[in-house]
Amino acid sequence: MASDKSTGWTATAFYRWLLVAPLAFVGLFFLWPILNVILRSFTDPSLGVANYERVFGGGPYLKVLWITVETAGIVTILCALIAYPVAYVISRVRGSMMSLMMAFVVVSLWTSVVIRSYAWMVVFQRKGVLNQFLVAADIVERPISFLPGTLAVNVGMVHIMLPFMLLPMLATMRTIDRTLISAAEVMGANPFVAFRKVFFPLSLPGLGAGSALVFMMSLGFFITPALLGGPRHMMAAVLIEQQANRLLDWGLASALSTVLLLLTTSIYLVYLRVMKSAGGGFAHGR
Amino acid sequence: MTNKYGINSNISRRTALIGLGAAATALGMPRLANAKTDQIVMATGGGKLEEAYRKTIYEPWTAKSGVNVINTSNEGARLKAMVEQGNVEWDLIQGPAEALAVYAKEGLLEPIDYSVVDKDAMVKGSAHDHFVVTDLAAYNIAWNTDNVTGEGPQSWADLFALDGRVGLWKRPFQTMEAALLADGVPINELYPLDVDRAFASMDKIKDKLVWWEKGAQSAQLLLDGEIDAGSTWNGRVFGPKKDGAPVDYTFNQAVLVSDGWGVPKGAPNKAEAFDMMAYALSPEAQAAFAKTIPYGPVNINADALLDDAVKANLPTLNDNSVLLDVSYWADNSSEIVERFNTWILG
Repeated sequence: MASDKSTGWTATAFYRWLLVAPLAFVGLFFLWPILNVILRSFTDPSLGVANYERVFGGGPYLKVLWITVETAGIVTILCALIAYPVAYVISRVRGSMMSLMMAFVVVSLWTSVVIRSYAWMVVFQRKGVLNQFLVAADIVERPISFLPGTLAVNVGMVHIMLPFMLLPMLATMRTIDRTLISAAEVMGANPFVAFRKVFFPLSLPGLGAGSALVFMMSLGFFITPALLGGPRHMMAAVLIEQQANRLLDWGLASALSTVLLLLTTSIYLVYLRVMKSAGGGFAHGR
Repeated sequence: MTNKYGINSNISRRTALIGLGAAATALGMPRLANAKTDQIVMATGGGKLEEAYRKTIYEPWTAKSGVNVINTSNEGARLKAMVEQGNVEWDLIQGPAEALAVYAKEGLLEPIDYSVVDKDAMVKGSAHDHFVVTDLAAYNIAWNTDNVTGEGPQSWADLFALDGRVGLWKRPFQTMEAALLADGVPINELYPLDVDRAFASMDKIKDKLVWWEKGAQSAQLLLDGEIDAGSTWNGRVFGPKKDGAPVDYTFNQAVLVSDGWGVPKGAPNKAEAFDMMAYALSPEAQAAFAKTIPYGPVNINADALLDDAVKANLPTLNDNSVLLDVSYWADNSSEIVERFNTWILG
């Protein structure tokens, strides 16, 4: 039997060693390349901040970064509003009903994003099903030009992002002890108050995790805004791809990526603070 | 062999080499230099073009040379990374000629071995120092025949004047040329481009423009009548028109664009790569290719192998078309792309 103070094998030490391989993996294949990208933004083609002068000195770059953050923000809010009630309902059912409902959520992930974006093009176009319905039902006189447009972009992106909001929410809601709600009701809370004061605060970690996931994934969105959106939906990923792949200006591509990374990191830090004061999220892992 | 790798000591040299080769492949290391290769790697954009290459170039060439061709995706960033790291896995790369011109300028391509590739048989402007142009496609005017009655827009000026929704490619290459032609610049005086005039020309029709990002998207927009007319690449609308879709097009004032082939600097099988390139540019391969996909040949002797019905569908360089100046774009892409993106957002 090893005593507590021995220098020999302990469970804690063992768990630490378990971390070595994944940390080395992340360090080698994630942190090191990112460091290289940041370094490159200052050294390619020559040492200095010329690339950042281009990013911040006029041109399309700042505007595109703003559009990217704005689009990601709108998509996150829409996803949260839609996913919350759905997650709530799914978290209350059990058994095969739950499997069925989960299947509806997950099944869309099996189709590629490109195909789903083209599918939305077909729905929204002037001779598409939506316009045919609107005209046939006499709601509008002539087909509406949805494409390219904000509505089409938001619908397309929300559709693709919804599962990533729903799944963390559902995971959190399923762990909420329902007897707490009953207890609140026994103490005189009506269902609305019980929800607002007990269930909702307990579900916040899921809402926070889902929002962070959707927001950050949306920042890197590429094909959906390109297909469904107009000039006003040019995303940072499109510009970075053009520079990195087509024009081979890796210095500028690196500077753009670094600015986007800084932006994401600062938004994440703000999120951690907010979640901490709200009492949940990644900051308070369960 | 010694026993230091823990291998049976009477193992043959050949078996050991195969083992080492397999290990090297598994680790992503370059192949052993002097071993005769049985396959080469070509990076392409995939799709129908790659299918046409396989049928009309790879398969006949493999039958001759005994070397198989495997394909991978042709990202420029990967090419640059491989050349920078000195670990090149591709023997050939295909891409838009204006992209190949950028790679050449960045020093990522080997000089073309014109002792193997027959320069004299190639049309003017197709044999460059570091890449060759293998076909002639058209960035041309097309329209939906349900939405546009009559003969349709016969010039870029007609297209820009059209009362309806007009689609253009959301990249300056080719689209700037179209804008200048629409504004009345003579087709033989396009280069160097008057960039300010091109933007002014597009300013006039900004409200009715619908930008497309991918070739497949341009065809879809046209076929579904989402746009009334616009630019496309002729290969995208050739099949649908033949199958009776409500789309038609013209080669008037077409901007001829090409696929380029190059050999990455430090490619492992240069000799085989140039051998296949030479075959791809031969009259037989060029004619077979043009029959499969409606892109015109760059070998002057290929025309004789094609009948008139096929030739009618191929873009040609004549008084009423212009070859995209890839050298101009290699030098000016960076600046014009930045201005184009700024303009599009404004």
